[in-house]
Amino acid sequence: MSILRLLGILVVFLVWSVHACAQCPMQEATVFYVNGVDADIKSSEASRSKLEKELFVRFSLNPECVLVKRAYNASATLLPDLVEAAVQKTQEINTELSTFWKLYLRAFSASVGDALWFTAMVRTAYLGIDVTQFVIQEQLGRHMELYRSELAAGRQVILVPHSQGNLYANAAWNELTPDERKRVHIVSVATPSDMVADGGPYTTLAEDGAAQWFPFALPANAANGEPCPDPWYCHGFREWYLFGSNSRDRIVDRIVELLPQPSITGSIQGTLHMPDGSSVNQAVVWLYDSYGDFLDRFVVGPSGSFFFEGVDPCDCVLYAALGYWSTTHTVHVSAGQTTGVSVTLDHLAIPM
Amino acid sequence: MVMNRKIAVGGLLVVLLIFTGAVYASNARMVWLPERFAPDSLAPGESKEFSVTLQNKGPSTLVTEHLRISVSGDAAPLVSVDRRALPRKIKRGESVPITLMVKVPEDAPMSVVRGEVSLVRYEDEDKERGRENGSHKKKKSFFRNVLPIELTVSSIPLPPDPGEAGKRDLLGIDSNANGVRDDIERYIAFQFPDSEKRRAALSQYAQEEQVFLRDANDKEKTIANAHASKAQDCMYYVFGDIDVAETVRKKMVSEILNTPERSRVYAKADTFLGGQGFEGAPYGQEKTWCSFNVDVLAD
Repeated sequence: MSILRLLGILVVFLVWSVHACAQCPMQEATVFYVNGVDADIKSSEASRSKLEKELFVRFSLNPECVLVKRAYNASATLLPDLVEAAVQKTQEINTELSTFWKLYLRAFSASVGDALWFTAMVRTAYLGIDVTQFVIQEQLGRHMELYRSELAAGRQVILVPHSQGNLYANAAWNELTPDERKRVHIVSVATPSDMVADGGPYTTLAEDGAAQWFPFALPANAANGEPCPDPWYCHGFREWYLFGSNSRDRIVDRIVELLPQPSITGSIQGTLHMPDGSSVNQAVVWLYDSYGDFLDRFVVGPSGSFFFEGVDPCDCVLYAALGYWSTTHTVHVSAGQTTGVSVTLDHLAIPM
Repeated sequence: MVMNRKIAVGGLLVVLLIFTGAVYASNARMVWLPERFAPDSLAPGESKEFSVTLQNKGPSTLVTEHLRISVSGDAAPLVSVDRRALPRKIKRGESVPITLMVKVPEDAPMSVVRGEVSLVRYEDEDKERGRENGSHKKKKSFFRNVLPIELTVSSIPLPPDPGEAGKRDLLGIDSNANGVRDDIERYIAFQFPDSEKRRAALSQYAQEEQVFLRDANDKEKTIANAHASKAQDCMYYVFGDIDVAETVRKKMVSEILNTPERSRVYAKADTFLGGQGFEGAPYGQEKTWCSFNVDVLAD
């Protein structure tokens, strides 16, 4: 009974696996959003969710094949320090503490409400960070576990770090083995660093004031062409980088380019018969595209079978001939699929 | 002779001091209980009676012959007082129940209506000056202690505004024990009076935040709570737009973290989560992360 049960489970697992593979025409991948210091746990989820939506809505990706997760990077003492500064400052200027949170979380931009004190406070805190050292090894270690877990499951990994998250992504990539590096890529956003570890693409907006605070950072290479309310707001991943169409397209397009590409060609599996239904022993099958251009030819074996692979999607035309017998047959070829055909030589004709 | 004059002046001063002191003390020591009248919300068209207490904590009996209970401010049209409730005398230490009758008009909008109940002394100027030109004048003086009123008019049942008392500790006041702080429950209702779904989604979020703050000093629980969090993605489904939902969420979070203690605890708890990996709701299945039946609630 237990053996039968085990066999049952095995069958179900195999069927499920085949089904899962069939669902994913490409190799599976996991995109990790790695937040910067300018976020709390909930803001990072908002960024992840927005990134996921942009990817799936624009590219019709299969959510069973491409996962979008986040590797959270807590800001160590930066947020607690900012809160302490905010408690003092809001008491000093007789403002509600909730005003600090609205600005910090970017519920609106700092220019609203004449809150220049806020941007000055954040700028001071940011400039107090040594960006080359601001990687907490314990957090980095956990991130490595997350990435390696995905790799072990056969998935490709794409890191999308924002702001200080870039330091974590670079450090993580540097710790990977050469084999692992082939399957891990970085799409950098608003980096304070002077490099992207895997040499991958980056996007830094000209209007992002915070990114400009770091003099050795990679220079701005894009602009959204819209007036920026304030530097802090325009450093935001969801609020500004995914909001402006230029930066959003750059980021999302780069991610999709790095996804394992699905098979873009199809194939034809066919059998050739004589008019009486018997197998064809010797014959040649030619393959033409819908414009009549020659693509390939196949000499059929004793069983009459033939096979064309690497065929671009088309409504192709098969032409088969044996002696004075010949035929033409139209076949629809789809990407990533094998089309089965049965072709019968049915009339006497003069070969082409 | 000089001595007698000094004694007379001194005596007069003492009497004057005692008199003014007694009046002052009497004025200062009429106390309302509770110190603030803020009942649960009342729906438009609803009438209800409430009992408050007026206590004489002064040094002497208070004669109420010329006293009236008056309601002022925006609440005046909604609140009336049973005048018969005021006895002729209120002895030292005595407490008198006063009934406030609140009647909300049918067409009253959702609002917070404020005012105050006070004890007022009316003196007939006619008696002092005699009738002049047939006019009848009264001058009034107020006792120092008043009863502030805050009425919430809402068709959505709401707890009273906890005011400053709601900011005294980390978790605030949750008088109806629904897992949402009273001030936040009111905030949500006033933000979205017409959308039951949005209120439900924000309430789910506020409940999670309350638990997050409650456990914020425990690293393991904080991590577990963060992984169990579902309300944010539910909000995205209900609002139908991440950016719109985020603006709403962040403004509410700013209200939740409205004290130094709450802000510090939240910031510290956030540091516990570094290095953790998180997944959101499976794409297209955000609705399943709502703790309520989205389809049956009115939008």
